[in-house]
Amino acid sequence: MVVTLQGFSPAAKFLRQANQKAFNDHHTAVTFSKQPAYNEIGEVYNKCCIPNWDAHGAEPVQPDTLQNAYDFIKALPFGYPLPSVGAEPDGHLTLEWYFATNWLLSVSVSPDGALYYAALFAGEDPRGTCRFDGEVPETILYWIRRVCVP
Amino acid sequence: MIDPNQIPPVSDDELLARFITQVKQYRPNDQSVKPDLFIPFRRTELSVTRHREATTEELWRVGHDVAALRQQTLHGRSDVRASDCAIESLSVVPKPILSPVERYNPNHANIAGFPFSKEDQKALAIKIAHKASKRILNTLSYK
Repeated sequence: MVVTLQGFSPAAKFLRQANQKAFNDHHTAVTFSKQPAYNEIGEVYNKCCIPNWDAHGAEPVQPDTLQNAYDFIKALPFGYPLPSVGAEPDGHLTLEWYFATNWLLSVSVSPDGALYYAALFAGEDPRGTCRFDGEVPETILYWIRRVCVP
Repeated sequence: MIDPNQIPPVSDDELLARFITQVKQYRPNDQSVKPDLFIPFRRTELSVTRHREATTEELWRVGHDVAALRQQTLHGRSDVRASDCAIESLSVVPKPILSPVERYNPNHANIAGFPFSKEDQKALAIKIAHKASKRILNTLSYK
């Protein structure tokens, strides 16, 4: 209850707005902008949101998948590299962090919030499933860091 | 092309072609192919075309037929050795297509035995893509 009251106080409102402004400024600065990833997600979605987009029976990418991918990028902490985006025949969007063909991470984003990941780090081939609930799972962040520091 | 009446098993040293029909299936900066190119869908198999007894022209003809049938653009192909696909649960099996005539391809084969779990499919696709060639462009005069 106390927290709720504090959250609506003028000071809390000011702090919230200041934080949001700082976040937005950071977000739109050229150096830290996530816009290229958002653009790529939109581009892939537009191409793959219709049934049979590969003319081989592919499922359409659902709006929920688009939202999850967008939210994933938004939740990616600053300083982490942006992925390249693709789509899979089951309608998942793929986010790929790539250093070399034997040093990469691929994450499939589904409409229901499940993240399916697999990676290759020379002889190591981690894989698994995580849930996305608005924050990038620490497991995924760990593997992204591994891609970036070969 | 392979004699449709005498289809041999796929040997380990055979080259297999996977045709690229989506821009996002390769990386433009280094032309390497993405794992997405080797993800199966619905079935647990993935279509490839054997180089065996096929001329370069015949291989590209198959690729163009595949793309034309799907009304897609052929962006190239990637080659991978059969032994590099026969990993974990996977094997390469001949699956000649003899009809209909517009899909005729006696050199067709399947990479079979993909697991059902998505993360395991991805892990295998990553390993195949790692061994696969970079994107090969069709340099023949007919395109």
